[in-house]
Amino acid sequence: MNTRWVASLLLLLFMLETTIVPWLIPSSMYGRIAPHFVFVAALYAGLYANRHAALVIGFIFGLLQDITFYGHMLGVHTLLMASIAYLAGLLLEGKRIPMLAALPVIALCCFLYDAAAYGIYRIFRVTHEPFEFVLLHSIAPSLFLQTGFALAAYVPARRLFEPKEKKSADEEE
Amino acid sequence: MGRVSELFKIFRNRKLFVLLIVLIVFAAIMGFSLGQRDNLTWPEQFVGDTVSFVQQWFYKPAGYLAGLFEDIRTMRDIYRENEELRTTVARYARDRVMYNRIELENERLKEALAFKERQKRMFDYEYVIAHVVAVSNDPLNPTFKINVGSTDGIRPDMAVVSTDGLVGLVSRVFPLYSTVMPITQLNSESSSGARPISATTMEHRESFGVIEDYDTQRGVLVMNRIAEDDPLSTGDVVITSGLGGVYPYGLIVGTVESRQVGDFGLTHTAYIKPAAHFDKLSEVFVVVPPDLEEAEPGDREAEADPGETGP
Repeated sequence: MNTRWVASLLLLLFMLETTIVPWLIPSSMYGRIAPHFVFVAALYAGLYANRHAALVIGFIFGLLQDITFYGHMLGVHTLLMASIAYLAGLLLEGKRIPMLAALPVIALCCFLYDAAAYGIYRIFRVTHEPFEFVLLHSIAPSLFLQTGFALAAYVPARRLFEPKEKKSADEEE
Repeated sequence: MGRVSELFKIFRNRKLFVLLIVLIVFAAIMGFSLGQRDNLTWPEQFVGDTVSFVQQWFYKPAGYLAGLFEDIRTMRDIYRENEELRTTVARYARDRVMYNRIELENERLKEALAFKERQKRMFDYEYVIAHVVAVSNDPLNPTFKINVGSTDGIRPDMAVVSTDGLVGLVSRVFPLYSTVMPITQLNSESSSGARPISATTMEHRESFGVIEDYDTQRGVLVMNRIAEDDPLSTGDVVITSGLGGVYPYGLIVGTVESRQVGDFGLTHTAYIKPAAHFDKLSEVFVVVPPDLEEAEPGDREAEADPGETGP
């Protein structure tokens, strides 16, 4: 895993999901589909590299997102991205999971992420919509987008994050 | 004693201890960062501005490309649109003559009534153009970033409009960029998000109501506290009244979709379809009120009541 390469790719992904992807989402789905591509990448890091890499990626990019789009409050995405990616790494790190197992895990984590974010906003009274509504309105459509992205990114992500067999002395976090 | 030593045994597990500390720290950060903050700390300013500086290279070209495809798709409508625009321009030219005359007369009358300089400049809002540079990917925090900041004289709680109508309020101000909270985040229970809008209508100037909620399920703004005998009716164009102290006077909010008796039966509630679109924005205007430093916002807006402007 080449740290510099990974960092620049993730940064590009973060830029894409906040600038170009919103232009591609149809107007009828405004406020309903939320691309969390960097979070999916952090999960891949947890599954195929190690949990510490996932923690660092989740923390840095969660913080970037929190500060850049500081509206209601800080810290929601930092906490959730870092902790959920770390948790995924803790449970499944180094298990060499096949694709058909990785996708449900990622979908579950994305659901957990959106649901927990809703919970935090609900506690701080930022939103007052009922959970059933938010689930159908934004969490479910976003889940499809995230799973689709995870499917598309599976091969490159695994190649990027999985440590090389032969030269294991390659730089690792 | 046994119970206490058990407790310590749990804390000897370092990971659990760290997790607990992290949760407490984050809960504190969230609590502190919620609500009004006029100045951000320098790490926030630095990170926010740097990221947005890079984001602007992506958002604008994407907008141009999307616009190009849109143009090709809607080429057939362009002829009709051109016709419509021509009639609009003709009407505009006619109205312009009328406007000039009325403005001159208005000036003369203000002089005759010995208006104070401050009263004259009350509605001289400055519209600062701003380009959108990025859009948040959190549906519950749908802010977007614009490329003007505190160095351009932008302050929190300034109104942001598009050519269609009121879009939102400036939420947090960084030195070169700021975040805008759309009015779809209006929430009467929350201390953060957009502020309630005191509103009236273009058709009935004596109407009054407060827009304090957004119904996501129906996609309409909820206007409360309308008096029973208020003339407001379906189809009216709702504008800001300037009485609340946050929004300037006369910004278009939307049109009344329906009106009914409110929750407590004493006042009425109207549902308002927002005039502005909140997605795929590329240019917006920040409404900067005049002589911000001279008068308190509360005083200025209290005087903005058209009923009190006489000497």
